[in-house]
Amino acid sequence: MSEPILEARGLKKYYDTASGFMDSMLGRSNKVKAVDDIDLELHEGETLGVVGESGCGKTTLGRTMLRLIEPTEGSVYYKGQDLTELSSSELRDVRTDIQYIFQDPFSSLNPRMTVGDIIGEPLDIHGIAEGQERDERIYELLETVGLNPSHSHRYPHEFSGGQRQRIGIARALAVDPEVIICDEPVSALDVSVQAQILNLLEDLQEDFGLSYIFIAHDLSVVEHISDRIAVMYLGKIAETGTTDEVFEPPYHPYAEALLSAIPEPDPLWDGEQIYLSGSVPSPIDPPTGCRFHTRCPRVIQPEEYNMPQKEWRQLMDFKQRLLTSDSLKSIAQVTDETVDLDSITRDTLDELIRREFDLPMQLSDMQAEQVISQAVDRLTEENFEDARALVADGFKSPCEQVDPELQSTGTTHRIACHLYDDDPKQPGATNTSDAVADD
Amino acid sequence: MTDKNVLSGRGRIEITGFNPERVEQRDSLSGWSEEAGRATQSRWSRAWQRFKRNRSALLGVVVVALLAFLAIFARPIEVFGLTVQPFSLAPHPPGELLYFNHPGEGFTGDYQPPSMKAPMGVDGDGRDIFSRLLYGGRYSLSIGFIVVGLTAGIGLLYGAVSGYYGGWVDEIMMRIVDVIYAFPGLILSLIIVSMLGRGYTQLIIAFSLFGWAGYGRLVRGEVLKVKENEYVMAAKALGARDRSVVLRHIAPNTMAPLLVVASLRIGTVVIGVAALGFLGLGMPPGSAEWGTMLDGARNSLIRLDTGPKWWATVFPGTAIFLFVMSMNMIGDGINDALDAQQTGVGKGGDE
Repeated sequence: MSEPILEARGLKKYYDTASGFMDSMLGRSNKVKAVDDIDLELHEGETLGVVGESGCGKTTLGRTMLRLIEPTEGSVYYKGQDLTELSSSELRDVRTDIQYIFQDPFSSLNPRMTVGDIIGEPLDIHGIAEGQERDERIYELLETVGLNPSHSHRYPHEFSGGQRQRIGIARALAVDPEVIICDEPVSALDVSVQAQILNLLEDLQEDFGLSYIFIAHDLSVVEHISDRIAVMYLGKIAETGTTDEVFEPPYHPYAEALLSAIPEPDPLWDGEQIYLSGSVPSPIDPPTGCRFHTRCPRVIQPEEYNMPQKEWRQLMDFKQRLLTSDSLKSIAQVTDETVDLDSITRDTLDELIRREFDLPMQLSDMQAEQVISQAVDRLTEENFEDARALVADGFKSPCEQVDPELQSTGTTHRIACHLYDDDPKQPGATNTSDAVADD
Repeated sequence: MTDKNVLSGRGRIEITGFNPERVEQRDSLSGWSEEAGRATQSRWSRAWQRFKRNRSALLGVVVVALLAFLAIFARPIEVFGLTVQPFSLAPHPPGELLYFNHPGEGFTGDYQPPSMKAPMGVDGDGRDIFSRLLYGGRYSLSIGFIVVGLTAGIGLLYGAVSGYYGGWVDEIMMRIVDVIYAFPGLILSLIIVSMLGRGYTQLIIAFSLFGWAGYGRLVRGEVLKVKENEYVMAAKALGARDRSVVLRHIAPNTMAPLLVVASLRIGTVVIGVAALGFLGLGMPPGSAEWGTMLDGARNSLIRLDTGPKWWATVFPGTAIFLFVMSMNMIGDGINDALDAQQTGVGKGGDE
């Protein structure tokens, strides 16, 4: 393939949680890893869709690539030029080549400026056009995005959301850019207007030869517009490939869950939706190994176990809950108010815990059953420490030990999941880092 | 491993019988058209429409305009020896001693109650209070407007810089404001006047030197709010310099609350000037500034031998009261008209 027009290498953005001077002096701060070591390539004329759920770092990624937010580490190359090395005046020149369309059409337009001035601002900043020429260029841009040139003296509040988004697009087009980063440009619009804006973006791409990075959380939108897709989870890329490759198996388990969640209007469709357990972990302290292992329905079992995948997932849920809780109340399902957790018998507690996590009274794997009944023994004695140690040691998925690399599963398709390692049971085999595989 | 396609079986619904051309060609469903929409109305002209309907604010404007008119036309104004304003509404120059310049008209060098010749009476030095009152408006009004203009301007810049850059700059700049806040404003002015001496310029300096702190803090808060808006980020994405981001995008959006506070502060400054005048620290003694006039007539209040000389204090006091109250009514009117509490983006145009 040709040289990429825009390329991110090892891009990282960590935010400091320290809220003030005292916190940073005392070292009371944590790093929020919003974008953690991301590589991306955008080729000329193509649209790269970036998808992921809220808070996974999509917007931060888009903004760090334009240096609207300073990256913590890594480089962004535009036509071979490293943007992170540029001085502010050099960067200003690059701004005529890379533009940004914002998510919220209401707050991205200055309410005190007329539409003409909003679109004319980039012309003024870069000295592109003046006087009569400037007016003509503004009218031309308004027409390009499908608005009436006579609107140039109106204020943003007089327009609908879709029209405002068109104004935002016209502003981005004013400098005649090569690349536009679209940050969820249609998520604030209703569905009929979404289609108009997406078609406008596609037409503009054809007319002006633009390349897009299209950030979205809506897979059907991304499918419509993208040539390639990158799926993000917690600041990392889970899967990347052409649109067809991402929408067809093999899947990353996270991408699979996302795809299964696309709404389908057909009432007779009986596809099964994949529900993820738990919620998105905090990016302050992301899970070790594969970041998705805390919710992954296909989380890998250690070699010595052999039980149904669902049971293993529930055991992992039990383990995660136990590791972060300090009371029986949060791990046992108490429906009957008369049950006194302080003086509970071992068998009742056993039953309550299994009911909470939907585990059978007898696990299908004897070895695992032994671990869990020992853990329940400890819990009956309210010995949380030992119970945690038992469970942490006994139920150890390879997924939580080694960070998966993006593995090629096709020429352009790459998935970061241990399921696609050469030997899935031993992630250490393909990764010579400090793997603690049980052999 | 993952071989099942989660998307299989989707997309079986097909829509037939829908003809988009028909929708495009049919008659318009409503009479609305681009041209039918009303002409655009800027935010300021909408605010002015609302302000005009506010009677108490309009009354305030009338009173202030009248006071300003009387002050300007009280005596002729000369610039470099050239008379630019020849009218004189006040019958006498403010410093004229009536008994001296108009002998034989029954004036003495002491307090005299209101009469036909002196409608507001004569003060303890034998000067016409009515003339002095009209002329004195020049001091109070001009100091009020100049001081507020200066302080609001400085405060706007200071607050904008502090809020926009944030971090250490903000921290240091706001601690300076805290230090200024630690002293009562009038005491600070008093100290400066006692250092610089009395006089018009000195008074302006005294009230402006630290008076901006309040505006600075207000503007900084507004800026912190405004800069979170995406249009600020958008301006940076377009390559705008910090200066133009602040001037074009941030400052205009912080103007509304600033304007409200400034209009209310004019009254406060005028009261402050009068207070210093009354304490004998304002204008030089004998000048016609309203507070100084009160100070000069202070003795009359406690002179028991000839009874109270009410006219010497009531008229200057009323003038101060009228002006300050009118300014406050205007300020409230501006506040209501600009809806300064709800200047958020995304507020619709039609209300």
